[in-house]
Amino acid sequence: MKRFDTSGAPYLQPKNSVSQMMTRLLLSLAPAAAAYTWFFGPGLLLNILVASIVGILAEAAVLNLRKRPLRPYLGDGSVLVTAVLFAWCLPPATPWWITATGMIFAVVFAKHLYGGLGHNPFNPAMAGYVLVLISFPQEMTRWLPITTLASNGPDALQTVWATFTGQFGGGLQWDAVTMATPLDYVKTELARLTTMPEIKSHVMFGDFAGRGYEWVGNFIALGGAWMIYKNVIRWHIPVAVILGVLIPATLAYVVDPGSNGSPGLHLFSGATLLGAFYIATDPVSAATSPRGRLIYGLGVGVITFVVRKWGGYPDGIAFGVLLMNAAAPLIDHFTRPRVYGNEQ
Amino acid sequence: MMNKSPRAKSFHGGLALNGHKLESTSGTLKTAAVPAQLILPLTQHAGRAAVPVVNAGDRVLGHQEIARPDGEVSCSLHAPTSATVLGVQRLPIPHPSGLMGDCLVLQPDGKNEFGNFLPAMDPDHLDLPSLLTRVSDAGIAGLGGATFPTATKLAGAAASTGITLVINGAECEPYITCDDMLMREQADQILLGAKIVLDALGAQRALVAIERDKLKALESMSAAIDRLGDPRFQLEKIFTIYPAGGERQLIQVLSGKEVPAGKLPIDIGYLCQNVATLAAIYRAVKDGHPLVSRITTVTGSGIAEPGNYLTMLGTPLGALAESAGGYSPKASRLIMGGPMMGIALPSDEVPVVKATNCMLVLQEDEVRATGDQMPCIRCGECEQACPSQLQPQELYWHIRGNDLAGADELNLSACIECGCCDFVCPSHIPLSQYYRFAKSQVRLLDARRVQSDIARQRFEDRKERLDSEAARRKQRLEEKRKKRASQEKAPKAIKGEIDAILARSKAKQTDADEGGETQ
Ligand code: SF4
Ligand code: SF4
Repeated sequence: MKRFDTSGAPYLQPKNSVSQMMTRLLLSLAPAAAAYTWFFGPGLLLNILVASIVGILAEAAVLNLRKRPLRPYLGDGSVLVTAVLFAWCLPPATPWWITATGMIFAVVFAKHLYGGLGHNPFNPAMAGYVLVLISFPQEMTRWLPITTLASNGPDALQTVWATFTGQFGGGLQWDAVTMATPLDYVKTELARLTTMPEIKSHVMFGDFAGRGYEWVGNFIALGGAWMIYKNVIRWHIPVAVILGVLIPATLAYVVDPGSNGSPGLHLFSGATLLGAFYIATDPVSAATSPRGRLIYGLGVGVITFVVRKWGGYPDGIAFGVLLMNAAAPLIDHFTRPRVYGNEQ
Repeated sequence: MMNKSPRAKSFHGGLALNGHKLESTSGTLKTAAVPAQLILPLTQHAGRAAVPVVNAGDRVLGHQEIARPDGEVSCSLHAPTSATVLGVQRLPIPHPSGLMGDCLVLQPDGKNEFGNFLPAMDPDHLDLPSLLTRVSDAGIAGLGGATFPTATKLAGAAASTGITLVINGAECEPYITCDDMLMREQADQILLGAKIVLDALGAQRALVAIERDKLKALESMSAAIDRLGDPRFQLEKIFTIYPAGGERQLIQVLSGKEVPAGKLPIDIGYLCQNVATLAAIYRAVKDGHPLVSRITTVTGSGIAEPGNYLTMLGTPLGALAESAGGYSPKASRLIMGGPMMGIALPSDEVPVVKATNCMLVLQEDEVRATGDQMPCIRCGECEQACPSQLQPQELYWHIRGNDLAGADELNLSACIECGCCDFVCPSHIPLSQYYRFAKSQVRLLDARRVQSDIARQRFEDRKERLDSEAARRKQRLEEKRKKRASQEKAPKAIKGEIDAILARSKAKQTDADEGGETQ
């Protein structure tokens, strides 16, 4: 007689794991990060570095307090994903204490106060971002110009210096180098009654959106497509978010091209693509069923457009995501699929 | 007929799995050796235990009835060969907990003498009552794995008209190939058995459903249909996707129709029979042979010579493994059935029973690990994979939250325990184990769910078994609780039960968890 170990069915090894999903997500962002660095200098990488270190430390501290095992929960990679997405939303060379504040808020309050991985109703990265956006309004609008346009821009060392001290050093002042993002610029200029064609003649604009930003956007979309191909995410949310932005943007543009940004500008500016593929797709805080995800994504897109056009901030992805996070349980409730053999 | 494109997959979800079918189909059908002892559990079918009609010391001939059915939903047992009855003993039966059950133990005398206990009948002139009697006398139960007594199932179809018989040759779980082999080698018997059923029920149509990648089976069955020349038979190629062989999924593929909740396939005019069951019916009618053997796939990396073996019921799995060249050195997991719905057995003393379509032996590193469960991240992958279009993640939250009524409201009863959700879950949550557990609890708590007569009968027969399982579980939990009492406070009943189940599988003790039926 031979004895065997037992366990419950099914016995086949699963092909997927949380850490694999997170790793793939991070990998898929690498080309876009490289493009970003190429166009805007190492500021993004520094943000990511600060956010990751602070994030991991905060996560470890909270796990410790909650008496949870460190390895599986740190190893799942979710805190790194939060860190990277949060860091991506910040202007390059954001002073480290701002990044740290947002990240600690994201991990401690938005994630663990609600019960940690899988239980947070709000997207932690966006919660952290909105906190710093409100708390540090000035610093959050200090964007660096594309390196090829700024002969007087900071070099790599000055960017590092700025990240860790808040100043570039070498006599370089923030006012001298920062530049509005395309969305920012459009918003302020439109408020001054400048027309869109005039606005678009600014050197910062490329073919349909901000120079440099277009390329980053392309790589983000490519990374997102690869994630869909690899089943890290499903197509519903990205498509719905993009449609949610594009449909009203196109309507507005058709009606009044003079005072509305083109659909291309909307798609490739700000966080539209990053939001569609990487932020709104955070499964924990999104709707779950395919129909629910379409509604959720459309909501995120439309709110984004509304904030951009009428709200007080140049971009609206963060608000769209957080508001739809709050609506997700309701959406899930009303979009429950019909179960086999049952009436609707 | 062979060139028709396959039926589209028309049920939700499902999985494209690595089939692992070649290992066991490269050779032909072999015959397993007669073991030193045959162990025949009195319960090897869904329903009540059979009642022994022989005594210790009796000599029995092959095909002689050794236990008769007890009530409507039960099944008789026959001696696979001439032997001496050693008596009824409590021995391990196919159950993951190593549960013991009453078994008739026979010692074959090696003479292989058979008696003529059931007269041969004319397959062309058989009315339904005679067929039902014969199927019952021959001890036939569904050989696809569910082992519901076939006579009872056929009797349930007696009142229906316009029946479509579905001949289930879709063997969707990885590794299992016994039906494939049967279709290759005994196609005519399957079809003749099906014809007997068709004639007796006055049914118009028989659909032979086979996955499109079973080329040899398709070829052999197609040729047999041509030979039979009965226009009621039609070959249906279907897509290879798990669980297309599940009764409800297969009907959906073939007809686009769903079996309404709480109903049986026959309520919408479909009667499914596994190919091996039909072949057994043919032999019972034509030759008067009761069900005393079956084809079992012996496979997996833990087996030296994988293949399909014609095996006497009652052959201990260890002896069957010997016939298949023995175990390979790293064999560490024994599964009866397939890798998705089979049951893991603690020892190979357990015998081949009517349900044993497969003996799967795997190495430790091929089997999913337990205990690496993460929280649900609401990714919805489980929902995408669920053939019943449930929301497994929501069921899981309800069950974890001790809310059985909530889970029931979300149609827990529609779960077919296929394990698709487990397989795709990135958090490695043993979802279907939760559902199996919760379903057994709900069934106990709420008899109203059971609507049709047959289902009610089944329920009552099951209740007894579940009661004893629950009692056993409770006792174990009590013991565990006592042990733990000093360290932590006792968990709530249901969550505690689940945790106990999980703890057991984590600890990889031999007395693991809930079993549930295969298929
Ligand atoms: S085990 Fe149940 S819930 Fe999971 S996929 Fe199968 S039917 Fe759906
Ligand atoms: S697959 Fe697992 S993690 Fe994803 S929603 Fe289902 S239960 Fe949760």
